[in-house]
Amino acid sequence: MAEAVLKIKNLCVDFLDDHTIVPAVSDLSIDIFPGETVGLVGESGCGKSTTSLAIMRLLDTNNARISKGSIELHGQDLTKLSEKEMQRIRGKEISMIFQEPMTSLNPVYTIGRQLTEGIVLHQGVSQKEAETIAIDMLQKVDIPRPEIMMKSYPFELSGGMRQRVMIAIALSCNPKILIADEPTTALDVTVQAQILDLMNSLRDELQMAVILITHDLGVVAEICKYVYVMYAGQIVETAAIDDLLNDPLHPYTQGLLNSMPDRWQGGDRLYNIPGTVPLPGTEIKGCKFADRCEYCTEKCRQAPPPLVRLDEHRSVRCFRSAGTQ
Amino acid sequence: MNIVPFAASAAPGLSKGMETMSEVPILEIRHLKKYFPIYSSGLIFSKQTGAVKAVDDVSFTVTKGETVGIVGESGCGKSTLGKTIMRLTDRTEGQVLFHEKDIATFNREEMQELRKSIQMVFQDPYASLNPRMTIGKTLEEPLLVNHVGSAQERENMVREMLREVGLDPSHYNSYPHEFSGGQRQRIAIARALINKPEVIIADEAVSALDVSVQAQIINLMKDMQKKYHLTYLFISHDLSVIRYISDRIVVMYLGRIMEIADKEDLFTRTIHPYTESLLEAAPQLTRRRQGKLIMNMDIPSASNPPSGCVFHTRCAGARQECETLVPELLDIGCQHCVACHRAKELVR
Repeated sequence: MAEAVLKIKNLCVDFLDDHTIVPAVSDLSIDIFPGETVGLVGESGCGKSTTSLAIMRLLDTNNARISKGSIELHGQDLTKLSEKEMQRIRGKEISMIFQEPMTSLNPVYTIGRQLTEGIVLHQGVSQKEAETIAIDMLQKVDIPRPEIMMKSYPFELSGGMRQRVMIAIALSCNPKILIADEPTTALDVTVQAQILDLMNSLRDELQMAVILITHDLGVVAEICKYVYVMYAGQIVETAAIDDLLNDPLHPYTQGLLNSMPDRWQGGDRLYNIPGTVPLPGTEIKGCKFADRCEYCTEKCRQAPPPLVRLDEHRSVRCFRSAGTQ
Repeated sequence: MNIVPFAASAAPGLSKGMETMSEVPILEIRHLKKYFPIYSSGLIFSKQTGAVKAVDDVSFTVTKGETVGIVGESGCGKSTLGKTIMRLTDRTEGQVLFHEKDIATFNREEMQELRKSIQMVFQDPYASLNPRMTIGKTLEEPLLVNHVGSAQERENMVREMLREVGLDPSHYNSYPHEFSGGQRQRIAIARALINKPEVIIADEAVSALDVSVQAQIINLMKDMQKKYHLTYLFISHDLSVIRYISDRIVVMYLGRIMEIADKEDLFTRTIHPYTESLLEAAPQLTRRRQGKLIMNMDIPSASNPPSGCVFHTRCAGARQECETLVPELLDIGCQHCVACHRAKELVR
């Protein structure tokens, strides 16, 4: 098996709020291999975006910090790099695309200018050469008439086109890893399907690793090989996508799948998980899902369950499902 | 307007609903058009140079107690349709009949009654609640506008309504920022229900919510429908939600209706090529994405829609006549209507 491009080990991220420390991500470990798409799924506030910002070292240093763990890119620990060194990584080794393509493009610069900026910076080529590379890139993301597109401004493009431009910018320096944070959430289903297809084919062509962060299990099912399910800052289950859908082990994953209208089996009501996500910063001694779990026992409230590895690709953070009750 | 006690105002609507549950249409939309003019500046005066045809010749009926889902991509006119039905924006042509009366002819008082009977729930619960009003005040306002009851009665009604939508009545004096997205949407639903309306137009009401919260809100809306015999117009881009909640589904594209059918009929006997590609594009749990989609073009602009069938530019089976002739919405049996020249061949 190939070497992992990115190894995240025991990552912990804390937010600081008026001298109180609120853990946002705790003890998160992920290995990512080239040519694979892994999904990071969870509901709002579960720490999935925080994780991606931590990888890119884009967390606001005034109120957030990586308190533990390492993020290794080819054996180099990103958490120990200076800001200057990190700038050489961003865009070149690891790129990121965001949910809202309108707000992540600068409205007052042409597409061409925004696209060539990174190419000139990272590849040390002239503006002329950068433009040729940029036009190539626009062709790769299936944008018609790329020469004209280079002179357009973001407002002239539709949402789907903007997201294509974002992908072109992100991939212009052949990064090893692409982090896509809800890349299709703001798009229509038909456009979403096009963007997902595009991401799939570019991943195969460029042999990069893709980390897809989303709340939509439908999207994950369509393009991811492995899935990490997050709840309240922790990974609660990891599995290959088929295993996860056919046989979810963690009660939260089960609840999440059952509450999807797609999985509705008839009957009067949709299934829903009772209760709400615990507020960030609440002190929980045992399992974070205990209050909402129908299988909760005394043991679940006493000690936090560890993430137990069941086989090569499968782990679960639950006493009951791991058989250690 | 005369002062009507709360319970009494609710009663006629209810009893009527039970008797005539099935047949009489509560809303009838006839050839409704809504064009937004485009102006360009002339020498002295600006002049109209075109129009965005947001809603173009839309007709359908809604019977009491049913849920009609309206689905389509962004820009297909589904939200404008909702707003035009409520007369939040005036129609360009056509009619909206509420209980067989054209709402465009309503005077001030009748309009106030109408606003009581048709209510709206919006997508973003963060934007649709006033951050400086307590929940109690927010929910009391619709009652106040309609001069319902005394202060004490109104407070009781609000507390009762809070309980009904699954919130603690002690939240009466809380502000919106103290609630989560799901709870805010519950408040928005409570606000829509407090005047005991007959029709609720839900414009992407669950789209901004997480799956598990979305399930809770959908269940709440279903419970409320049963309890108050509500009629829903459920606008959404999410096919799985629409499929779950609707009895009948209207598929819109560029301001026009492409297909109307009963829920199961639409999904098992999809006829219009647009509906088909929409279903094809929606993410599915049971599928792994491979290969390219057939429909690989952006949606054309509504200010300059294609001639003939508006879908012909993206349709794989488009023929000569599709480019020139606008297809009529034809009933192909079982109240399944399709606007496509090839409908008859596609049925078989």
